[in-house]
Amino acid sequence: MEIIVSSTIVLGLIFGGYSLFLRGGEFLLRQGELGEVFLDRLFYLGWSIIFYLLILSNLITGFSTFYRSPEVAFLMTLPVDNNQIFRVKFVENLVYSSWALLILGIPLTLAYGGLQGLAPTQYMVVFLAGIIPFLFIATVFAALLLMILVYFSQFVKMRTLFILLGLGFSGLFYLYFSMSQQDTLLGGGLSNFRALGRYLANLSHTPFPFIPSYWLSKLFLDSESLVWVERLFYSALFLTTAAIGWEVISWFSEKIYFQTYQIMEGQGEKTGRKTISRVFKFSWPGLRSPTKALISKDMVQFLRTPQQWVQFLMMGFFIAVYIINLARGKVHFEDLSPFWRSTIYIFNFGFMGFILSALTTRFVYPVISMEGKSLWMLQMSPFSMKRVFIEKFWFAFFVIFTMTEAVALASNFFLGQRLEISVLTSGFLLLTSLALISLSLGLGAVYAQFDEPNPMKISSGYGGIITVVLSLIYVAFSVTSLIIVINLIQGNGSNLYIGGTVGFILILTALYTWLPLKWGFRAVDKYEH
Amino acid sequence: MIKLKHLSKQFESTLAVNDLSLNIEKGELFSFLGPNGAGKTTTIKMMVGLMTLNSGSIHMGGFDIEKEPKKAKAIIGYVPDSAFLYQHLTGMELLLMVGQLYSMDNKSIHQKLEILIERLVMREWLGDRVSGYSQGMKQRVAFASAFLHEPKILIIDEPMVGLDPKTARIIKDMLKELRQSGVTIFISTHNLNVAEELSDRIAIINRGKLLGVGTVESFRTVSGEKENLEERFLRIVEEEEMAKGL
Repeated sequence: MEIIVSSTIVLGLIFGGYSLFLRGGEFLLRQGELGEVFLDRLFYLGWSIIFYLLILSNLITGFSTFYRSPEVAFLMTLPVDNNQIFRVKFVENLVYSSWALLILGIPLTLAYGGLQGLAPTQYMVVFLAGIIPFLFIATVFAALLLMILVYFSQFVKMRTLFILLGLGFSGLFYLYFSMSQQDTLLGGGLSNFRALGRYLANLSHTPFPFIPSYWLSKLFLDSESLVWVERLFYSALFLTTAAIGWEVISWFSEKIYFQTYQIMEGQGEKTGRKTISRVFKFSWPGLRSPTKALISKDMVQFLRTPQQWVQFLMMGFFIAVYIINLARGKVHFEDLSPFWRSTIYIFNFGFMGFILSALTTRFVYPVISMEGKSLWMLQMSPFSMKRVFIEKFWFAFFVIFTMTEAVALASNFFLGQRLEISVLTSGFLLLTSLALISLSLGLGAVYAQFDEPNPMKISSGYGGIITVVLSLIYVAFSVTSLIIVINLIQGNGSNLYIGGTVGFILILTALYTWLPLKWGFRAVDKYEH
Repeated sequence: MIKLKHLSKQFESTLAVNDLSLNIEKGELFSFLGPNGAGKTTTIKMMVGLMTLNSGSIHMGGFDIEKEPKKAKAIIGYVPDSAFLYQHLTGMELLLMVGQLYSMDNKSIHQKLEILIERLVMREWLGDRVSGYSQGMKQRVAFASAFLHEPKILIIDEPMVGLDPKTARIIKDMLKELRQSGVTIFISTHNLNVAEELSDRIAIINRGKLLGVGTVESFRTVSGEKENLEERFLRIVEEEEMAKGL
């Protein structure tokens, strides 16, 4: 049953994504040559983002797959070559961290290929000689980076290494965007054709030719733009890079995998010289003692789990980039017509809904599972598990709602929205936060996996897929309702219709909040170990 | 202090606990003996509220564990057979958290902890993260967390698992002192030496069924002759198996 439901959902997502990308692409192509350039550019950017996200997710899952898995500890005791263990775990890591991103990548690729007029056989070539090596190369990069990070963690704390890595990544990101002058169009205006020409010329130079997403975008060009020799060249480039990557990673694993494994094994003893964290010492005014204990525990665990805080910081980084982009475009938005301003505003709300879905599925869904086998300590305490559940709900609500509300206020300010529209967004975001946090927490309790220590694996399991799909469905309804309400307000529409739309979203929110919480309550009361 | 009445628990086709009734008085140290898979841990998990009952009732200090779980849990201290503790916390943080979960104020937590740290010899490593602890260290922290809120009832599943002889001695001494101060102690074990040394009374369970309850002396004395507890235990279990045709 689980397989049927999961497959239906995944196929639905792929098909839905394909239709969306196809329609979006067709719209761009109707805009003439400028649209074509933008389409190529979007494809390249899409796969570039997927490439970076793949490296990141491989890096994060790699920690538990290569170093913290009890299976590796067991395999190490057997007469098996360490390099073989590494290779098996490499493939496992590749599959675990790639499948979710492929749900985004496959429809993007199918739609782009369709727009370029690729034949089914060409698709096959592109898939075998492009996408598979693409995923492979990202895993090689991540595994290499991971081994180097773990190796240096014997000299410098892992947290410091991650911060340095984050700063380096942010610096590169900034350099790339400032050198490629992505906002030339916004800065120069569209008033003269010379500015537009300069922008288009820029677009053709900005793709970085040494990353696999560039090669992939080249492989997809239609036969008129790309002769077969070039196609062969890029296919060969992919395959040889993947093969060299495999050789390099094998050499590295032979030299330092076991050594880095031992470094990680010794870290439990090395890291803790801090008797009590400041979080536990904080007085938390107004909170009762057991609530303080639960919040302190959750916060300290979060801060000491790199898979958690690194990904949270990365998400924060991408949101910050988005806000900075909006801030840089502020002057330009003021020149736009009300229609385009509303459209951008709706996209902005949709983006925030998407961020909320991602945040809740990734960080709220696994919180019950992450209690793991230590849950008995809470079950034994003199309060009900419902209270633990409620504490987790309010803590998640406080953090996530505050974050999204801050992003909403900042983005509405930069988009120059009227006060009443900003208030409306805040109201919709409050409802969205309530619904999505309840959904993630409730389903996370129903589909709890207490034996799985990796939060990423927990949130990408069966229950996680259902949660993300239901979250996106809610966001779609929420965005549609907001569009209707704004149109009705701007067009002096009937109050009855406005009331009806708001009533619908209120009922939907109540269902999304009440039902999962009820299921979650029931589930946490029945846990038996 | 502890009353189990016609307690049963079934897992699919296996009857793990079968119509079990026990009555344990205040200040008594009671040992629950049985071979592996006898139903000891299942009984204990029902007693501390970690598992639901299929039928029967459990009263801990006068509180029904199903109807008044908060009141019952407030007076229970529990040490599981394998202590799974929060890996990312230090032992000190973990014990502080446990004290707060039982609504103790910080001053009394620290006062009580100071005594426990000294007694269980944990000072040197309690500031390190639990992830680096050995099984014995984890077990010591689990004992400290069970003793911290001064429970009236202590439930311990295999008390000596993972402990070195010195710590095992410390724990035995602490259990004796607690019994003298009126704490009711229920231990489950298959270590007959521990049961023989500490218990006021023992019970033997096999395949979920209670085979007998009595003092150590009463078990050892058969037809006026004293017998080794281990031999007696093995014979009782064997007779039960034969009676069932197993």
